[in-house]
Amino acid sequence: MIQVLLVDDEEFSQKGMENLVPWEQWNCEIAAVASNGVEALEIINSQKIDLVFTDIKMPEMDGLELIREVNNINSGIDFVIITGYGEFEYAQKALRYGVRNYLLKPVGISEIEETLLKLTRNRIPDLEVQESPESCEIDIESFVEEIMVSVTQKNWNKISEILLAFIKDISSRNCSLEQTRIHAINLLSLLIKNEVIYSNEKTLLLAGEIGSADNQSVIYNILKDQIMMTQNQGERSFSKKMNPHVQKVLIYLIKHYKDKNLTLKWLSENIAYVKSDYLGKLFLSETGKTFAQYLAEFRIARAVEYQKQNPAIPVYDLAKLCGYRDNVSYFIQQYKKITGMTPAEFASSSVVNT
Amino acid sequence: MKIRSRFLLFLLSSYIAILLVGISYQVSTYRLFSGYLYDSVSETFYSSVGSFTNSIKSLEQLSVTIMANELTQNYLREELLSENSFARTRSREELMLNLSIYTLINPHLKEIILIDSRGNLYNANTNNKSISHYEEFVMGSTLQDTIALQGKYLWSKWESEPTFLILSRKINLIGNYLVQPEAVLFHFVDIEKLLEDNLPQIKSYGLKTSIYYEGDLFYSRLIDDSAYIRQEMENIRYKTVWINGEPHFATRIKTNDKTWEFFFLIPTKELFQDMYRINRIIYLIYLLLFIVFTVLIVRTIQRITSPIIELSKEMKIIDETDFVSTIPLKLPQNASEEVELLYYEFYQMINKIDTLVNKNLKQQLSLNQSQLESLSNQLNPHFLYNTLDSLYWMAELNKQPEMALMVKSLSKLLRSSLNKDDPLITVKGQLDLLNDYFSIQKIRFKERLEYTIDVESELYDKKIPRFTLQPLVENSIKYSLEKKGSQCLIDVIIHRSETAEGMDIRIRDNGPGVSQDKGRSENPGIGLANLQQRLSLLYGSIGKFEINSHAGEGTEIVIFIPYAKEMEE
Repeated sequence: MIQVLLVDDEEFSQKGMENLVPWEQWNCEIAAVASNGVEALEIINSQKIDLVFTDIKMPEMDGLELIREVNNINSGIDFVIITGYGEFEYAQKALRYGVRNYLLKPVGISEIEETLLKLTRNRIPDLEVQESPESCEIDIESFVEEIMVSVTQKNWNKISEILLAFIKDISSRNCSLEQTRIHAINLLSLLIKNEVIYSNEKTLLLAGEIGSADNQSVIYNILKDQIMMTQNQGERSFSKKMNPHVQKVLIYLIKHYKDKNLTLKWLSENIAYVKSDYLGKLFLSETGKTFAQYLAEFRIARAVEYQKQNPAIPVYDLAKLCGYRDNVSYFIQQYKKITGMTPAEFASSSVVNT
Repeated sequence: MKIRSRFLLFLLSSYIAILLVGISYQVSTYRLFSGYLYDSVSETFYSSVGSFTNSIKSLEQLSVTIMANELTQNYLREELLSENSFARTRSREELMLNLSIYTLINPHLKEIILIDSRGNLYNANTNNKSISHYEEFVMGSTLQDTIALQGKYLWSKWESEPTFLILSRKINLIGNYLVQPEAVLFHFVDIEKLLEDNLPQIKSYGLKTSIYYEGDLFYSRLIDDSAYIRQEMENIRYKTVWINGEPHFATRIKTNDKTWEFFFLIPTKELFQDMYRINRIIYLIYLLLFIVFTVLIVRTIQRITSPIIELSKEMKIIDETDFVSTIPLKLPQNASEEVELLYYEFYQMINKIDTLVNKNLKQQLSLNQSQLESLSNQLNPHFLYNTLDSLYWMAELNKQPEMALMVKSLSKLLRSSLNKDDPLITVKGQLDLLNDYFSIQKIRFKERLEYTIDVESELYDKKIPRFTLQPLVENSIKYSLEKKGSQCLIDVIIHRSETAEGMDIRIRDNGPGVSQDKGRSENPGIGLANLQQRLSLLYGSIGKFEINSHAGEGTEIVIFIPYAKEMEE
C-alpha cells in the first residue's frame, strides 16, 4: 500500500480528503495528517511516506519549503501541491523542485483520483505477460448506461467519476494493461454504438491511441476528453462517419491481434460479413493502409511495448505474443522492416532507457 | 502620377519647347546667311573673271602691238627683201631685244618665241632659258594651225606644262605686199600667275578651279574630273556639288563672247568654317544649360516633394503604431518654410491626439485597475479559496453533491474573472468555464434551462478574449428565462468563418425576442454593451457584433473574432 501524507491547515479540507477520497481503491493508505510544514517534516523523518498532498500557504513552514527540505533529505517521495494560489511564480518554483502535480483549490474528489491514477500507475503491479485471468471481467454495459444518463444531464463531473470507477474496477481485478485496453476499446465501441461518441474518421485514431496507450491514466484521459469533445460538437460536424465494417474489423483487430490466423478473408467471413476484396478496399480507404500493413505495424508496436516492459524477453516468446506464433524469422524480418532494428538490437538499446 | 514626375515632365517639356524654338531660329538664320554668302562669293568670282578676261584681252592686244611694232616690221622687211645676212641678223637681234623687254613689262608673259620662215627658232628672254623643251611643241601642229589662221591669234594649251597657255600669231608686213614672210610669234603666258593676280583668294579656302576655252579644258586646279563638273553644271550658274563625299559650293561663269568658261568650287566646310564654329559653341551652351537646368529642376522638385513623402511615411508609421511611439519627427535638411510649418503642425496634431488617447486610456485603465485591485485587496485570494475549499468539503461531507458542484464551479469562474495576466483564453478553456457556468445555472433552474454546444474541434486551441461567451449566455438567460418563466433553450455554436480568417460565435435562444426596429441593441444590458465595446476596441472594424431578433422568435447574437496572431505557433 502506498503511504500518503496530507498536509493542510484547513480542518474541513483535511477531513474531507481523508474520509471521502477512496484511497484504498488506488492502493493507498493515509499514513498521517499534518497541519503545517514542520509537523509534516517530522512525520516524513519518522516513518515511511510515499506520497504527500500539501497546501502551500501554511503557518511555520510553507509547502514549498517543505518540499525543498524533503528533497534535501531523500527523494523518492511524490509531491502534489494543493493551493488557492494560481500565481505563476509559485508554479514555477514548484516545477523547479520537481513537482509536476499542481492542483487548485477547491480540489474535487475526482481530481484527486485522477492524480492518483497518474501517480500510482508505476506502483501498481500490472502487465503480466500471461493470458488474462478469468477474474478480469467487468460489466461494461452498466458503465455505458451511467455515462449515457450523465451525458443527457450534462453532468460532466459525474462522467469523470464514472470513468474513474471504471478504471478502478479494472485495477481492482488485477487486469493487465492489455486487458485494460480491451475493456476501454469495448467501452468505446459501446459508446459509439449508443452515439455518445460519434463515429467518424477520428474515432479510428482514438481506437489506435487506446491500443497503444501505455498506462491507465492515458486511457482515462482519452475517454474523458472524447466524451466531452463530442458533447461540445453538434451533430452537423459529423458528415463523414467511419464505415461500420471497418470499425468492427478494427475493434476485433485490437482485441485479437495475438491470433495467428487473423486474415482479411477470415474477418470478412466471420466478422464483417462482406466480401474480402471489398473489405480490403474499404479498409485501405479508411485507414490509408492495407490490412496486412496495418496489422503488421500494430503487432510490431505491441512487440516493442512488451520489450520496453521486459527487455529480457526471448524473441520466440515475443513473436508468439504478437501473433507470429510459428514463424520467428518472419517476425524478425517484419520487426526490422518497421523499426529499422532487430528485436535484439532494440532490447539492448532500450535497457539504458528503462 | 506622382507629383514629382509630373513636375519633372512639365519642366522638361517646356525646356524642350524653348530648345526647339532656338534651334529653328538658328536654322533659318543659317539658311539666310548661307544665301548671302553664296551671293557674295559668286560676286567675287564674277569680278575676278572680269579682270581675268581683261588680262587675256590685253595679252591679245599686246601681240597685235608687237606685230605693228616698227622693229617687227623692219625685221620682216629685212627678212623678206634683204640679201644681206648681216642686216637680217641685226634687225632680228634688235627685235628680240625689244621682245624681251615686253616679257619684262608684262608679269604674266614668261617668254616670247619667234620662228622664221626657214624654221629657225629664237627666244626672247631676259632670264636664262626658263622654259625647256618647247621646241617640239612649237614646231608641231600648232605652228601649222597658226600659219593657217593668217594672222589671227590662236590660244592653245601645252600638255606637258599645264601652267602655261600659249598665244600664237603669224606676223606679217603691214602694207600691200604680195609676198609675206612666214614668221610666227609664240607668247608663253603663265596662267597660274594670271589667275592668282586676278583672284587673290585662290590660295585660301581650298578653292578648286577649271577653265575651259572653246569647250576645251585649258586649266584645272585641284580637280580630277573636270568633265563631270562641267556636265553637272550645264546651264546652271551655281549649285552644291559632291566631290569625294564632300559638299562643295560650285559656280560657273562664262565670258560674254562665250569662249572662256570658268568653274570655281569651294568646300562648304571651308566657306562656313566660322559659322560651324559658332554653331558648335551654341550647341555646347545648349547642352550645358540643359544639364544645369535639369539638375536644378530635380533638386528643386526633390526639395518640395521629399519632405512630403517623408511626412507621409511618418504618418503611416504613426498610424501603424497606434500613436504608441511619438517619435520626434526629424525635419528634413534644407526644408523650406512651408514644409517646416507642415511638419510642425503635424507634430502638434500627433502630440495632441496622443495626449488625448493616453489620457483616456490611462483613465480607463486606472479605473479598471483600481476596481480590480480594490476587489482583490478586499478579499485575500488565499482566504477566499481556502474558504471555498472548506465549503466544498463540507458539502461533500454532508452529502450535498449539488452544493459541492456549485462551489467548485463558482470557484473556477471566480478564478478566471480575477485572472488579470492574460486577456486571451483558448476556446477550450472558455468552454470549460462555460460548462461550469451552466452547471451552476442548471442547478438553479433545473430542466427549465437546456443548452447545446457545437464547436469545431480545430478551433479548440484558438484564442479568444476572456468573457466573450459568458456575457452572451447570461444575456440570453436573463431575457428568455427570467422574464418568460418557461423553458429556455440556448445554442452555443462556434464555427470557422467562411468569409474571413477567424471564427463566428453564435448564441441563440428561444426567448421573447424583439422586433428589429427597437432592437435590444438600442438598450443592451451592461454586460453586452461592455462586450461590444471591448470587441470593437480589440478588433476595430474587423470584428462583428450582430443582433438578429424578431418578436416571439428568439434572439441570435453573432460575433466574429479573428484568429489571434500568436496562435500559429
